[in-house]
Amino acid sequence: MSTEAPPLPAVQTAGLTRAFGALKALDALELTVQKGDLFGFIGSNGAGKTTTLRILATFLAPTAGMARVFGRDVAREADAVRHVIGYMPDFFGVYKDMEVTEYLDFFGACYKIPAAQREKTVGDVLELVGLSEKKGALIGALSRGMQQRLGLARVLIHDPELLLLDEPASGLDPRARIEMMAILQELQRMGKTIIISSHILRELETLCNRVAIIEKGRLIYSGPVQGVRDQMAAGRVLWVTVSSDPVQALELLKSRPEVASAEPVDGRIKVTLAGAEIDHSVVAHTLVTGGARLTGLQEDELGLEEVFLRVTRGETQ
Amino acid sequence: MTFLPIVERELRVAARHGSAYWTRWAAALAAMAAGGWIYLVTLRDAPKETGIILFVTLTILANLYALLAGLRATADSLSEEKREGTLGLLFLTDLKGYDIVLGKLAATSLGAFYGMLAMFPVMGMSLLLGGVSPGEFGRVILVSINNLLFSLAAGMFCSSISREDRKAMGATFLIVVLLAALPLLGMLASLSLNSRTLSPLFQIPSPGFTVFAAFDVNYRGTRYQDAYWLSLALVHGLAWLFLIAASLIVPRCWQDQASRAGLAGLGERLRQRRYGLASVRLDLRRRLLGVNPMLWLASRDRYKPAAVFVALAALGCGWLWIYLEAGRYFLVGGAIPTAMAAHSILKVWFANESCRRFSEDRRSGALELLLATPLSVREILRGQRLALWRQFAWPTVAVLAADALLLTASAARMNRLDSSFVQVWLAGMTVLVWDLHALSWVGPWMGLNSRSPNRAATAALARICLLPWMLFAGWIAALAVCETVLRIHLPGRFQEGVFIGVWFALCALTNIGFTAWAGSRLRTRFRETATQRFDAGRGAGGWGRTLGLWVGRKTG
Ligand SMILES: Nc1ncnc2c1ncn2[C@@H]1O[C@H](COP(=O)(O)OP(=O)(O)O)[C@@H](O)[C@H]1O
Ligand SMILES: [Mg+2]
Repeated sequence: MSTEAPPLPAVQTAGLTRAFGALKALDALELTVQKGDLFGFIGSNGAGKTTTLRILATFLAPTAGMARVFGRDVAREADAVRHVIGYMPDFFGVYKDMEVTEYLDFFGACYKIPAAQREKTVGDVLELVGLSEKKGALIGALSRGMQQRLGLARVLIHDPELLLLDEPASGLDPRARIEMMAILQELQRMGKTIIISSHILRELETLCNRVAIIEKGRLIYSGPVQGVRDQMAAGRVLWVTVSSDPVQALELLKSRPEVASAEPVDGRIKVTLAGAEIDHSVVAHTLVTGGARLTGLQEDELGLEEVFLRVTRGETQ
Repeated sequence: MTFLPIVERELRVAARHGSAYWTRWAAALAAMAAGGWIYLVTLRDAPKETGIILFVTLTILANLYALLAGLRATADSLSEEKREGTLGLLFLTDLKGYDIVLGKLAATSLGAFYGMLAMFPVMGMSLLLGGVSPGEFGRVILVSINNLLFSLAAGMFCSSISREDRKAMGATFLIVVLLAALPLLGMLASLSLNSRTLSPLFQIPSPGFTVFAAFDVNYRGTRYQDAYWLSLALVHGLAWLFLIAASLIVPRCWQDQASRAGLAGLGERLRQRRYGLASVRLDLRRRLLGVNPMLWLASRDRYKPAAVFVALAALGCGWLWIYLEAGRYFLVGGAIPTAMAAHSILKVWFANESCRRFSEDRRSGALELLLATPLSVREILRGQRLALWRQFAWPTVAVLAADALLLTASAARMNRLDSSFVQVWLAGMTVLVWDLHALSWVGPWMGLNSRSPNRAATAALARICLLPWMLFAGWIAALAVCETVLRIHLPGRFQEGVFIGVWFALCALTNIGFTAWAGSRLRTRFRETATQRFDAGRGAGGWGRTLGLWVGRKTG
């Protein structure tokens, strides 16, 4: 008989609410992040991502509800929480006239790492984020991508178990973004739990194993990436090209109950199907038997971005 | 002419802004308080004399206000936009240098101008009391406004050539003080040359001289009648020169300077001077990080402690020069003013330094990173204070030693040593150390709560250094009322010892009170305050508004 307790989640919130005056930035948020997750936290601007991460980082007190990091309450056991998290804010000041090593050495001292050990630690984290050749460089002279990686190095200096990264890829060029993502994957392999927030969705899609989508402080979806796709497949989109009269084709399509909507877009017809189980052939069949000359039929790959837009459409407009 | 719409709109925006409103009230209240005080203290004199004293005092106050206005309003206006990288945005539109300089001048100086206007009615009271002629009144108003423009223009110019706020404000201060005190320097120079006449070159360009020449006693005398108008015109011309220069410079220097190849090597060398060679830096880091990380953070710059000594040494050289010229009279007469100057330098510098770190780091977001570490608030505060004392302990000791020297030297020259003379010195020296200690608590709290370290420093100084003097003035006024109106004669009321005692007690009270207040705020509210982000809407500042309004006008 197994006596193993259920594994302690890395982050757990219940009814987490934060109000700024009359505005509820977070509204009863329920969030669970398991140990070892690379967790994508997705929402449009103002959705409440930063507020959530700042509460987890012990910077903001929740108005109501609770948040735990590895079982410790962020409000009551703030000191203990600070030891196990590495928080990278969405914007943070660097001391521009400092050298890379000095900067990390300084933060190492703030985390009370003994001086003898610091030198090695600083070397290690620089290695990890690929800044080893920049040891002696001035921070102000680093590119934005490098500064962001330095920020990551700073977060790692005390070897925290949970990383809270608030839009770390914003403002980076594609190459720097890919480098950043590679580092994050490496960190996940090392067993760290990572929460990364973003409103840019493409990269999180392949990077994260689980995602949560929030809008206006409320959780809309939380679970595996695949689950979002499944849940959203209901409104699949087909792109149809015809060489005959498009108006006639539109009429034909609109007459079918399987078709939720059809509209001309850039010389093609955008067809939204009414359900996940409906087959393409319905569309092809309708057109061909109706006398339209079908030249192209293509289903949209449902990217997370598209899903996201769909999920949040009702909320934001 | 595109600047007129900008000026018009900036004025409208600024007029709605709260600060103009408060400046107006504060200036009017200050003028009324000063006026009331003079009235009370001179109750026994003829109204005519009261009128003259009131008028001269308020004129001096108004012009001090005018000459320092540039420091507050314009000196950091363009340089701030340069630091934040927002100045470039304006040049992407078809704005010209003068559009920006004039627009910014209008926006930043409206409050200062209103403040000045609010003081004039109180000055007008002296017209009713007699002793002041309407012509004199008019001239003084003219020169006050002129000096305000001069100071604002000088600030604008210094801002256009600087990037750092301290540099811009330092340069403004230097220009204004040197020009205002030009006649004094001229007098010293002619003393050393043993010449009896002072060249007009030392008078005409000085805004201080214009004030001097405006009073009837001087203006009516044949010597200064033309000099007043000439000086007024010249100072006015200087102001326009500053503005024109700023307009020409601004479009040329908003880009990031760091990328210029030729200067990169020089920058690196300067940096090494400033922070030391790698080995020196490593050594410092090893030592100070072990004590307290904040201590190291604030102590990296080797110029900082040295700069305080340089300023004090400059004061010492000035003292020596005058002493060599004026001899023993100055030893006695100049001792207290010299000590006051040295103490003021130290206090102002200390206040500025104590506010800077938290203000800047909160604004940049660097403080947040620190608070995410297990470093406790107590440790952060302690490190900050340690760093302050590391910078100022020796300069303070040096100033105290100089005080002791001046005291003994001047006491030795006096025919009859009077004990209150020694008391004044001892009280001043004690208050110096005590004030610095109080500032090391009040400064960080003020800095934490303000976006601008300079404003925070002013607030801290007002509480610790200025307030006791105001209370002291209130005490004297109360004494005067007791004497003349209530006819109550308090025992020992005019003894010097009592005055010194009262002054010292007021200093002590404010220090104890504010230290306790700031200390408890820092201990209990530091984290909460430091992690509150400044209202994002305010971050855009004047430029964002200008640009927004202007673009809005162009497009819509
Ligand atoms: N300190 C604050 N004061 C007032 N409102 C705030 C504050 N911080 C955040 N908000 C508001 O809370 C909401 C959520 O903000 P935030 O968490 O920053 O969103 P996100 O990071 O998802 O873009 C926004 O509407 C924002 O305006
Ligand atoms: Mg955010």
